[in-house]
Formats: sequence, structure tokens, C-alpha cells
Amino acid sequence: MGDGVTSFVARRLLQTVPLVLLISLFAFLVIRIAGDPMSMYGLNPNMTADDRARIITEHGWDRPLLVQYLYWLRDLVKGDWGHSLYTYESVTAMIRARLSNTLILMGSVFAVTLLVSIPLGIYTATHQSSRLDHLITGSAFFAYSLPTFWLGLICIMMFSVKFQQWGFPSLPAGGMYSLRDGPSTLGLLQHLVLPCFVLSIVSVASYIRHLRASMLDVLHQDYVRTARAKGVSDREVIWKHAFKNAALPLVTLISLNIPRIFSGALITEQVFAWPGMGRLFVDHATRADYPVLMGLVISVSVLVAIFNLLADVAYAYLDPRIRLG
Amino acid sequence: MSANRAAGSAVGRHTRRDFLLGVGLLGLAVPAAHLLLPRAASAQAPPASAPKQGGTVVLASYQEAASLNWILIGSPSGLGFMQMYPMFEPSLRISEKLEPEPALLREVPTTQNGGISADGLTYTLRMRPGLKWSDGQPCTVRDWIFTWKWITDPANHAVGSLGWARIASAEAKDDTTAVVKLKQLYVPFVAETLAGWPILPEHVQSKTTSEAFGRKPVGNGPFRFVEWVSGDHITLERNPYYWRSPKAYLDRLIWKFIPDRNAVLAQVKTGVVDIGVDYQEAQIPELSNIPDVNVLISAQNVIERYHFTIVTNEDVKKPHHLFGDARLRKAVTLATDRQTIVNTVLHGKTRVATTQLDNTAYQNPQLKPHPYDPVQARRILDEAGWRPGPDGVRTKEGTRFSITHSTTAGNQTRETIQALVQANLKDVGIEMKIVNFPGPTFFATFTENGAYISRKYDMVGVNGGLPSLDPNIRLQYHSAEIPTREKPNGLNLGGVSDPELDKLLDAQLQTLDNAKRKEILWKAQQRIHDTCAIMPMYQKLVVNTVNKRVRGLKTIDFGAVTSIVWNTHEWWLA
Repeated sequence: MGDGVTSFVARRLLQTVPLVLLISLFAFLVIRIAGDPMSMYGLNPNMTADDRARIITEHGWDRPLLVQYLYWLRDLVKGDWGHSLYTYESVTAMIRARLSNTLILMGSVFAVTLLVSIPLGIYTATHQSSRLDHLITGSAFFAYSLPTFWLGLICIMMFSVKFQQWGFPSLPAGGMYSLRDGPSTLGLLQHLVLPCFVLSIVSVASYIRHLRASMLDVLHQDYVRTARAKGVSDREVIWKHAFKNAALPLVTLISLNIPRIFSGALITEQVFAWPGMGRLFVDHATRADYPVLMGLVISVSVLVAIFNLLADVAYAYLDPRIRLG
Repeated sequence: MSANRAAGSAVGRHTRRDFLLGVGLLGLAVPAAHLLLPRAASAQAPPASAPKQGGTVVLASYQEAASLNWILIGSPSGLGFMQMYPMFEPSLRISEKLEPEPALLREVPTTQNGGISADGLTYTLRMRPGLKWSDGQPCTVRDWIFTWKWITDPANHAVGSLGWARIASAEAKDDTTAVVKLKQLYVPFVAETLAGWPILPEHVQSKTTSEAFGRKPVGNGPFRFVEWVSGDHITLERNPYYWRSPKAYLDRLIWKFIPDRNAVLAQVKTGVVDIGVDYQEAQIPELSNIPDVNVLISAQNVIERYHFTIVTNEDVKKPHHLFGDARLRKAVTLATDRQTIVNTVLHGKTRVATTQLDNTAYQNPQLKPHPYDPVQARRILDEAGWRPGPDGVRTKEGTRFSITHSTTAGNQTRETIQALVQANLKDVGIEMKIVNFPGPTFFATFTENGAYISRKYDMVGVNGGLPSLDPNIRLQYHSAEIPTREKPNGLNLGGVSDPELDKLLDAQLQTLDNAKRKEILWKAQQRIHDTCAIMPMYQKLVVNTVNKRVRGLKTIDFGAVTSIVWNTHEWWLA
């Protein structure tokens, strides 16, 4: 399988290049058509006509769109991702600064999701139709339908504001650490609780449902019955035989969600004032700040392509029946 | 036992081991929670009477500054300028009476004290001696001259050059005296370059770009820059070289960025944030209920208004088929019940606006807003030949009185008001279609058909104040300032084209005599009012909240959000 994997990976990586280029062209056209960067200067009465004309020619916004795209592409290939039209910082510096914040939040969400949903998913499948199963799947259904924006604000209201009013210990309402006390690990953990909770609830719900369904499917297979008949312990049947096969659809789900670890959660980061990649996108999308948006599009598309590739390879490892290519 | 287990169901079968495990976990959870959850807030200390040194004040802003270099910020009434302001002292401060008062300059240049020559072409700037920048270097009048050269050089990307571009020459007689000569008489000069405007340090800015300086500024205000964590906060500390005595009482000021307005409210309620800025009028009732917090409301010069499209998009000589006629503009104005809008949508907390000079020293006090009079509106429309058609919409020679109205999408206050206006107009037989756009599309340029400037819609809703202390409304009402394809950057949005008004607007720029200027501006306001050139809606309130433990804070009725940081050197914590 070694050679097959190498050539598969090489082929896929080569395919990624034109794919990302196509995505970047499409994104560029959509972003530029949908918003005019000059709108940032809005009704600014301090700008004269000459000021505005100068800004337009400086940035080359009087050129045709496709030409502007090619200039952007040329710079990208040279390693220059450009500068924000709004803050003038370099795009790479901005992404680098925010990326770790997003990784902390989304990484925690990812860990919590797996740690909670795998045991619960397996439990509900092995104890199908029990009262606890109904309770868990019912709650999952409900949790999945909660809008994160609303849930975030409700949590802030309850655990931050109300708890403090009632004299209970309360959680912070936003940000990454207390500005008065300065950065600390404990402070970070305290500030992580609510946004992590809000984001995890929805993905835990989704993962439980998926895992339960595929576990149920697998548990009724002949080979599981055979293993049990052979006297294999419950634990070994569930984990070594059933879960490993039920995990395949989970791998798909995980691989589709991994790019989110890098791209951040747009709404939750807004609500909790978490300075991550999602915030970066929203703050600059409203200003048609296309260098930043294009930088984000490129980074996320590349990550999606890579992780899709990894998922396919993982599949082949988990299930020998799957042939690559 | 394994056979039982293999049956797959363990309902009701909890072993002793499970029970002990559960109790153990519960036992661990309590100290873990205690460790992770912060302490509940303790009671407030009793108030003190004399200013105390020390402490940190946290202010929340829902928008992060683009840059802390004020030449890149542009709008002096925006959140970016506000965040920069505690770091940079203006040449002249705007006083509580809304007049310039000495700050970096030791006197306000006037014709009486010789600071302004009789012909208005020569200004003598007299700076305070012994000023320093926050890095200890001397601050002199040469920094002012450097600022002029820096701003007017296009390579430095200053967003707006306004008054600075009028300077012909500037010469330093010594460290504290400069003689500035203008190209021509320009009455708004003091207001556009001195009153409320800072300067740049030559020894720092000349060695770097405007953008880089904006990320690590060096100023001469009561506080100086410490750090800027992008997307999260800006930290400032007391500036030991500030010219006033005593220096700032607080140790630090922190700007915290919280993009969601509800989240700001939560942090204000928990006391994590001391000062919240720029709330919407509709939030006032809720804000007033927060304990330990004062709500500061100020009616300023920012007016929410609807512009009529008076000339066509393609040809400024061709009047709009409907609103080119002043009678129809009057009919729409009389048909709109603005007082009810203020009472309901804005909870009666503000007033219907009269002119664009409301709440300035130049406001014409004799003018009152047009009344709500739908009967008169209908009469005007009838007399103009617009008769109700079969569907209730008035028609004339086969054309229906149907208009499009545009403003920024996603602004709940604006959209609610639009719906009310639409109903008002329907009542008198005018059909109003609503076409809103998100910010970037709405504010796109004339050539990109941005809604607010391109005259593609019959009415447009915007707000805005004056660019400086100067009441120069020529920018918005003179026919030479109408944006066109050739000259796309004028601010006369609707295309007001009134020769009599033009004459008055030109005249007010020709006299340095303030009393005379006021007289001319009163006439100009009367003319705008009589011809219904725009429909002023309401005075936008500036609403801020300040935690009661912050003392000594004063605001002025100018500068929109910037007014909250007017006297940071006098703030102290109880």
C-alpha cells in the first residue's frame, strides 16, 4: 500500500494548487463586487476630492477587476500577502497573532467535544432505548437547535451578570483574560469556560447523534455477535471491534470540522470578544478589506484541502477494504 | 456475570464501584469549581472627596481603531479618534462653551490679539514653552510645522488635508513662535488645524511611516502608549511629561474591544468595564436601571437626516422629476410625523432636528421644525396636480408618486423609522419602497453607484456632524459640491442647487467677524428650512455609561463619542 499512498498523496497535493487558485479567483471577485473598499471613508467630511482620487489610484482600484486579481496573485506568489486596508498591518502578522487565540479556543472545543461525545455516543448505543438514552438523545436534539448567538448571550446574562448580582461566584463575560490583573493561565481557563461550553454543546450534540447511529449499525452486525459468542469481554467488543468500525463516519465528520479549528467561530468570538480568526474575518468583511479576507480564504482553503487529504488516508488505514485513488 | 453484561442493558444495575466513583468525582468537583470560578464581587468602598492617585479605568469600544495615528483616522467624531485622544494633546482644546481655549498653544489666535492679521492671511502661533513628548524629547512649534508638511505630502497617506492644504508657508521664529501664511482667506483655518487637533512628533514620525507610527505612537497627552494587542485591547499609562500640573491621577487607561453591544452591556453590569460608549438611544431605559452606573446623555451636533434627490444622477442641471419641485419636498416633510417617531422609537429622549447647525453656537433659534400636517400635505399635492389613483397612490399624467428610500441595512433604529415614514407617506398617497444596503455597498463611491452618493434613490437616510468646530455647511449645500462622474467626491448628496443659498454660503466664508458670520448663517439656515432642501429627522444623542467609582469625569457637547475622553487627566477612582 506504501507506493499507492505516496502517489495518491502526491496527486492530490498537485490537484490542490489549481483548486485553491480557482477558489481565490472566485472569492476575490465576490468580495470586490459585494463591497467597495472606499466605503470605509464613508461620509468623512475631512477628505477632499483629491484625497479620494489619490487613494483610488494608489491602490489600483481604477483598474479592471481581473487585472487587480492578477496583481494580488503576483504578490502572493512572491510571498507578500499584502496589508490590511484598514489597519495597515501585514496580513500575515495579523493572521499569526490571531491564530493562536483561535487554536486555544477551538482546540479546547475539539477536545471537550471528543471527550464528552464519544463515551456518551457509545453509551446511548449500547444502552439503546433506556431512559438515559432517551434523555441524552432528546437533549442532543434540543442542544443542536440552539442558536450559538442566543445561547452565548444567555450564558453571559446568567453566569456572568446574574450570578454576580445574586452573590455567587461568577464567570467572566468575555475577553481572553482579565485586563486589570494581566495574563495568567488560571484567568485564561476562567475566560475559556463559557465560550467553550457554548461551542461544544452544539458539536457534542451532533457527534453523539452520528456516533450513536453508526454504533447501532455496527453492533447489530454478525461479527459482533460472533465475538460475543466467543466470550470476548464487553469492553473489548465495544472498543476493539464495534467502535473502530463505527469511527469511520466520525473520521469524516472530524476531518470536515478540523478547518474550523483554524478559521474560528464567527459568532461566538463576537459575543465573547475573543480576539480570534472569526473576529478578524467579521471585522474586515464589513469594510470590504479584501487583502485580509483573501489571506483568510487562502489559508482556510489550503487547510481544508490538506485535512480532506489526511482524512482519506486515515480512512484507508482504518478500513483495509478501501483502496486509495 | 459476563453473560448478563453481554445482554447489553445495564439499566438499574449500578454497582457499588460506580457509586463510589460518582461520589468521589462530586467531591473533587467542588474544590475544582471553587478554584476555577472567580470570587463574587465585594461591596463598594465609601466615596472619598479628594482626588486619589492610582488605579486603572477600563473603557469598552465596540470598534477597534484602525490606527492610532490621527492623520490616518480621518473622522474626528469616530471611535478611532476617541481611542487616540488621551495620548495626544490638541493645539487648542475645545472648551465647555464650545470655543477654542489654550492647550499646547498658550493663546488662541484672534484678530484682537494679533494672532490673526486683519486680512486673515497671516497667523501667529504662540506655543507654551517647555513642552515635552512622552519620551522626554522637547515639543516645539517646529513639530507643528512638521505636521503641516507631513500631512500635505501624499506619500504619507493622510486621509484628509482640509485646512492644512490652505497653508502657503510656515516659519518658526523661535521654539515657541511660528508665522503661518495662507494662500487665501480661509475662515475655518483655526477650527480645522488647531481646535481639537493634535500634532505629530517630528523626531519620531520623520523616521518611520504614518502606518508604523500608528501602531506605536508617541504623543504628548495625559497618557502614553504601552501596548496594543490587536483585536483585544490598547493599554495606556500616565505620561510623566504631560504639561499640566497635576498630571493624570490614574495609573492606566485600557481600551477593551467588545464587538457585540449586548456583551458590552454585560461587562458594564458586572463592573469589569468602567465606561461604555456610544449606545443607541433605544437602550437608555435599560441603561438607567443598572446600579452603580451613571448614564451620560448629550445632545450634540450630529443630525439624522433624509436627503431628497433634487437633481438627477446623470445631469446636475436636470431637476429630479419629483423632488426637483420644492412643493413636493414640503409635502413629504409635512406628511412625516417626526415627533411620534422620537416619542416611540427613541423613547422621547431626544428632539426633532431643525437644521444641520443644531446644538452649535451658530444655530438659528427662530427656526422650529416643520409641523406634522398631513391635511396641508394633501392640499399641496392636490394643488400640484397629483390626484389619488385607484390604488390610493397619487398620479399625474400617468406617473405614480412612487419613491425609493435607502439607508444602511441592519440598523434596527433606522429600519423601524423607515417603516413608520413609509406608513405616514402611504397615508397621503405616496408610495415609498425601501431598498437598504449593508455599509460597504451603501457607502461605495459615486462611480461604484454607492447608494448614499450616487442619487440613484429618491431619498437617502444618513447622519453626520460637522468635520470641525467650524460651521462651514457650504460643503453640504453648495451647488459646486454636488458629486458627479467627473468630480465624484462632493458632499452635497442630494444635489441642492439654489443660487440664493450659494451666495449666502460663499459669503459666510469671506468674513472673519464672527457676529457677521452668524448673521449670514442664520439666513442660510432659514433658506434651507424654507425650501425643505433636506428633511432633518432627529438629533442623535451621544449616550455613554460611567461607573460611579470613576470621579472627575466631564464631557462637552461636541465631538460625538470623543467627548467622553475630554478631561482624562482629571479622572480619579473612588
